[in-house]
Amino acid sequence: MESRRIEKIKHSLELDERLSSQLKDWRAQHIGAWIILVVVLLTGLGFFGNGVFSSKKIEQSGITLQYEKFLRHEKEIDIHWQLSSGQQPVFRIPIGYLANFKIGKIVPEGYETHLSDGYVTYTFNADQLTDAIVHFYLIPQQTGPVSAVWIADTTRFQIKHFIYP
Amino acid sequence: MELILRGVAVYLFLLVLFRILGKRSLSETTTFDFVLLLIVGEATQQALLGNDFSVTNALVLITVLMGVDIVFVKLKGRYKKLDRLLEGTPLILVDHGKPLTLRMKESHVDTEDILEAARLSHGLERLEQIKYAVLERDGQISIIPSA
Repeated sequence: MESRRIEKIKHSLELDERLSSQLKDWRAQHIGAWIILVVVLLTGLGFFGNGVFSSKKIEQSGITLQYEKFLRHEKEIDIHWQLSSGQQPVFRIPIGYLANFKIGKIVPEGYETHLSDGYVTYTFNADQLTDAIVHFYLIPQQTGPVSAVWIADTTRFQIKHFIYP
Repeated sequence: MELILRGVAVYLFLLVLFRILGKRSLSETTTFDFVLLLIVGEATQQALLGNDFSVTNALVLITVLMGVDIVFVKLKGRYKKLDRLLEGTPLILVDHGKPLTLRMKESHVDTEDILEAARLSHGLERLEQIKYAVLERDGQISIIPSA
């Protein structure tokens, strides 16, 4: 390594060079520079927010779910559902999951809710659905990993997030 | 409490970041560096203040940041190791007119930077006229001319 060949000199200055400390500094700076590059790369790929690896799409039983895996505290997200014809627009969301979020908005409006068995059930009027699309706009209130199983109609969807501070 | 945590977290993050970037990162602020600093300030504003843009919040936050800074100054004065860790140590880059190239390379300083400092501080014309050039802890280059 080049830093091991750093010039050692004798000087007349009243100055505490501490070359060993300098070498550690440079080593830390090299490692730090790599960490910065890795963080930039991971950000580009979506590991800290929107990006290729952040968004997840699940298709089951004719229902499509799209959501972001990596969230930020207090930044609104969209849990996007698309249902095919013949499916009941009914969603059951665990109360434990919703405790991590504040509900910003649910589109379309005009739904009914009720609580049962640890779930909040949202029932939409099928006639009101535009192209059978439902958006849950949620605002993260906690940080750390969050996972839950949502039930859309009768199909179970595993949703996993990580919420950054 | 959240405000203190936010303030301390951002303070420590910036401290580590600028330490990683090295002594020379902002020692000579160019126009672009200045713009970059403004952007960094804008980016940290939200993280520091959250959704509370009240005067009280801003004043408390400034007090917290100053408080953290005072604590670090006291600690650095008391513990020399911490001082060296956070501020680094001075480094000789030119010894009796001879540039110490490996040291300069690691410190991201080139001969032009040293000659510029020599011209500005002592009106020197050539490297041979420099006895010592020292990269100080604040990133400035100080010049000791040959007798």
